[in-house]
Amino acid sequence: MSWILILALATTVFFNRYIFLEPNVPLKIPQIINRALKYSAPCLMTAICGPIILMEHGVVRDFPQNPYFLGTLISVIVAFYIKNIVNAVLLSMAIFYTINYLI
Amino acid sequence: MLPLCVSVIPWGILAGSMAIQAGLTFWQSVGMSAIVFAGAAQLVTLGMIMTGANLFAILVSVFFITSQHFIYGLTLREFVSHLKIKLRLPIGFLLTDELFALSETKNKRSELTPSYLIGAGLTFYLSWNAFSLMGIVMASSVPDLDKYHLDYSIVATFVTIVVPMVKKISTVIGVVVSLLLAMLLSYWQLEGAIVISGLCGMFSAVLASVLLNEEHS
Repeated sequence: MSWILILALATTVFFNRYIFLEPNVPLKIPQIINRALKYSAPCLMTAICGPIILMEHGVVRDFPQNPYFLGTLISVIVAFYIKNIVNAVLLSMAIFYTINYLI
Repeated sequence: MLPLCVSVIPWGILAGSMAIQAGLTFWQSVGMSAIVFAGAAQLVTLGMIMTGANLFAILVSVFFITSQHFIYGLTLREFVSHLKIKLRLPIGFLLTDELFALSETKNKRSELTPSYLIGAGLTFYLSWNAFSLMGIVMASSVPDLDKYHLDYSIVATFVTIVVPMVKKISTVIGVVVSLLLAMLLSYWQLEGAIVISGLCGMFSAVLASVLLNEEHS
């Protein structure tokens, strides 16, 4: 079962990733969609974070004393002031683990 | 690129160790990261295996989870669709959230060459598999990886990348809508919560941009 599952997963994932890169897929993109696509990165990346911040395995975390929530607020501030991405991420993670330890 | 590789570390370890916990053999776990190469899809699939879901349910869920890649494909189409197929296919295979995030940080379009995309993609691929392997090996020795909260690394990395992107009010609106909707829809366990929230955020941003009469490039 599992190898079939793995191959089926890979096919599904590849299909979703490749389909719009194929020039033979006829695609006339309306102007409005073009404008919307410019926002795709920030919106999607934020959407991915949403459930992680809110829940742990489907259970809503405490609020506001929740290291994920507080950590996110601080990460936003850190990102605002520190321009170097690596340093900002490492600092955010360090602060997150500190909050985790304190709470 | 390096910060995204950093975020791959805990994420990869998580994927590898969860595969073992879900009952896959060593080679199946390695195969999953090597053949599927999709963090969110792998983790969700493993979670579903552990709760006993059937093959069809898993594939449908993975289809929706990775449907956000439609948007990546659409966004990168102008750079990729004119390339030869031997370049398009690898880029398609390597097109992860991380590669997309990386490509969006490049301000000059001319930097997005196929060699850049494939090179960066392969780097992520190697990192992903190396750290998955680490996770697979660790799963036997480290009992409870949950308490290390490795998934926060994705939040930290994505927040750090998104914040500098937010230069207009319309973007703020898009991001806030996406965030709140993603939380709500995932709380309701709606399949495709992420892609739906992302799309709503994107269109809210366009609406805001029109209403506020922003200049658009």
